[in-house]
Amino acid sequence: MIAELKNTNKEKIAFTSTGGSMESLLSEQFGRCQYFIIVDPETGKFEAISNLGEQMQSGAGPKAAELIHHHGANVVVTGHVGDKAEEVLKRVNIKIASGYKGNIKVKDALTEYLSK
Amino acid sequence: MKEVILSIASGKGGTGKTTIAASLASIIPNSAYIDCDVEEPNGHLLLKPKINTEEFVSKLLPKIDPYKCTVCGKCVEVCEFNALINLKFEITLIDEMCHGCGACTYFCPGKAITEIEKPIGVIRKGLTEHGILFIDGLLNIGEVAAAPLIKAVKRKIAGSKNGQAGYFSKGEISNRDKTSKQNEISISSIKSTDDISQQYLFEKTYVIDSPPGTSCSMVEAVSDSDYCILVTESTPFGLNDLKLAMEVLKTIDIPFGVVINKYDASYIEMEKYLEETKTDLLMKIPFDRKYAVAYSKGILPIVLYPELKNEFLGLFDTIKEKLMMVENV
Ligand code: SF4
Ligand code: SF4
Repeated sequence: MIAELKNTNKEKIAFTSTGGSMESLLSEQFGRCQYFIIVDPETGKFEAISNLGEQMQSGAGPKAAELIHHHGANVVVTGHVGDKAEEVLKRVNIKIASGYKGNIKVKDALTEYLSK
Repeated sequence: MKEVILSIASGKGGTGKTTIAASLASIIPNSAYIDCDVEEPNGHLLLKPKINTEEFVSKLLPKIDPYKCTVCGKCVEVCEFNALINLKFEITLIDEMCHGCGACTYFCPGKAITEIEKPIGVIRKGLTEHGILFIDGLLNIGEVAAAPLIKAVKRKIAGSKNGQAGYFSKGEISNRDKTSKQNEISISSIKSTDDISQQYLFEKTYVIDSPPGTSCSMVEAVSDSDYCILVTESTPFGLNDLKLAMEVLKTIDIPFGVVINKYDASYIEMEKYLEETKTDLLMKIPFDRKYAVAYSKGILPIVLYPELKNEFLGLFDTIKEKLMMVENV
């Protein structure tokens, strides 16, 4: 299914997720999501990274931004990004696609994002 | 030991911790009220101190020299507070997160870090009309790391506890005897404890109002206390947060007892739990609208309601015993 979505899009897309698979529901929280699913639309492959920020008392947002940056993401699809995380994301040129709701699966969020 | 530190903490906000701390401070002879709830210090609203000194507190922020930094990532690794972010091409600091602990500077292999001062808040000190010593810390808006400021507030106590240059001069302490019309009620409350104060050996009792919750700011505030009062309320949430707070105090080895505020006799689980864990139940304060009304008007309920004041005198009696026991250890 993901392979079908193969397109000219060269960017790696990070999704905030509640679980470790494409079937998991999207998480609306950026810093405190349980997992990041990073999808490479060119190859159709995805990678699930667990997010330590879930247990952090504070500072989860910027650390999450650092995490996906180190995993090569160019865009993040999520519900909401806090100010401090946004600053870091901007500095490393990661695009923010926010406003996604947590009632859809990661794979559907991917379809939705790519159709835009 | 001529001085004791009594801290008042709570697993969650809104339990009436500040009212209890301020009430105790006004009942205990020679007390000082120290507000360590620096994100939202409320004690001044009830105690209405006359502030006579403000001292600005800074923390040391790391400043990374981009020419010397090799982006090796060591500093990011050692920072316990998630304040440093590795952008790959450089390291960036989230100012508000930094506790100014100096670990990054210490461990940087390239000596690329120097430290610069940044103001984080202010410590105010003063006296209430009734002569209670008052100290509080007020964290700057947007500042996340409360612990360094709390540490600075508590250093004010340490100074006098070690018998070094105390924070308050003798002159200030003698102001305590000053009377005025409005404070008659509280002065009488101090008087009525005369029989108690005669046996109360401590020259000074620091009552610390801790931040709510069980974060590192709470730990910072209650550490070094001789005794801690945990304030909770008769609800499942109250019980849950109480358990967490008890965990913390056990870990850092501070003796404690519990005050149930807004007490509801029908919620039996709370007392059951205290019994099971052999925890001292120090006082139960039934919910009464008029107490909440007094608080909202910035008046200490014990000033208006003698029956409540008596309860607090009883609480002081109990705590006094605990403190004496600590003293004898
Ligand atoms: S430890 Fe020093 S050299 Fe290494 S990344 Fe940090 S500032 Fe740069
Ligand atoms: S001073 Fe401490 S808290 Fe601040 S960035 Fe360095 S290691 Fe982190």
